[in-house]
Amino acid sequence: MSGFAGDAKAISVVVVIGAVCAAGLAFVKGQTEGAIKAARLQETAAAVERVVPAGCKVRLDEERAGATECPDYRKKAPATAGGKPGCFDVYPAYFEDGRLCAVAVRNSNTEGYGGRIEVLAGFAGLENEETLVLTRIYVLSHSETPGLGSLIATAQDKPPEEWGIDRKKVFGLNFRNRVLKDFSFTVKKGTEATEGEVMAITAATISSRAVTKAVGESSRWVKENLGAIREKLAAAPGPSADGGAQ
Amino acid sequence: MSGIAEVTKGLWKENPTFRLLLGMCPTLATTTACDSAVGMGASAMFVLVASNVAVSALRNVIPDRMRLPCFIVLIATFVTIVDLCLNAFFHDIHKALGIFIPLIVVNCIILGRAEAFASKRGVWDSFLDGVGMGLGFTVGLLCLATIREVLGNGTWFGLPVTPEGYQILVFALPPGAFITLGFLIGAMNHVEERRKANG
Repeated sequence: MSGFAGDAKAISVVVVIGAVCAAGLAFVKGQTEGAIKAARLQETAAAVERVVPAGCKVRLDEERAGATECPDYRKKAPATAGGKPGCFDVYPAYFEDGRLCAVAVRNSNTEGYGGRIEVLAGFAGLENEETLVLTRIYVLSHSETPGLGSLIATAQDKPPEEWGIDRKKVFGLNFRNRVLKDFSFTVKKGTEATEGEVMAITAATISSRAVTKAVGESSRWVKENLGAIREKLAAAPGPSADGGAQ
Repeated sequence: MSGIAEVTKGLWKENPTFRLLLGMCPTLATTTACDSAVGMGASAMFVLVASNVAVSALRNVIPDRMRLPCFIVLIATFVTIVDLCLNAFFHDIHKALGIFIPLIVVNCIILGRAEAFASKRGVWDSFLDGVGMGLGFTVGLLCLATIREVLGNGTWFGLPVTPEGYQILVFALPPGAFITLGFLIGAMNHVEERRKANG
């Protein structure tokens, strides 16, 4: 077969195959969309639960999971986001009686040794600047060198009681239950770091710095926007799957 | 060739990882842990079987000069289905495999089998070829991942096997993948030569 008839057949075969494939994909996407959203929400909720104090109940809906557009108070200053407007994602947790108990703030940068790192930091004592405490951090994603930079996430899936006391082995210890006013976000190499400084992981100073920078930004943002955070997240969201608080 | 031979050739004689040396990129990259290796192998196997069957079924409809675009559209569709399903139902594995799931589209095992086998043979033979090649790829990845995870991380499927402090870090890193792969290919060639020499 040659000429016009051959071309027409070739084109129509490709078009039909493309259309059938597209229809199939649309069907699969429809079937999996809900499950993907639920899995993401579940993943975020599990991470938030790790960084807020025990007894705070995490209640996320899509709006609180940061899926909607970025309101002004959550916008990053352009300088901290490398010129582009970024956004702090903030996830609240509530006491049994529905009062705001703690927030988890997600921040990321691309200054890790392997590129992008994403860190969740928990903050409690939101009444005022004096009581504000950095409870814990959780590295949500990174692509640091296994065995070196990847130690930023060491033991973070275990309960803090099992972390021991070695800040060079368990990086998260640097950020555990810190009163912000006594805490500097300066990374020190070697062993001479004081109580309030962050101790770098041996042979992974860049990874340590990247995490520390992200946590520092989150901390300063929480400190400066305490009022807005309390106001916007004051009440638990309406009745949710697990009963709701109101 | 009998049905069983179509399957078993992928496991040894034409093993995609160790004999054909196809699909090296995911082989080297996803074998740091056994569960991601099995996830990668199973995903590739599903795509391979589905695309082999589809290509074989459509081999008389698809015009010869348009075969590559058609094959790629079919393969990309199956890969996207795997990507969505893994994301929805096996979220952790999806996270661990990351970019390597979408990259199955350009995995040369899959296009290679579509071009060299499925576009010339019947649906049943192509199905068996897909199963065999998929199994061969999965077993190949699992061998590599077992060695790398046990030596590099001290675990097997996440279960601790060697005491703390006895890990050889290089096996978890890219050079370890090349070294392990080289030794495995060498061992396989050695066995094959002995087998030939003995008749």
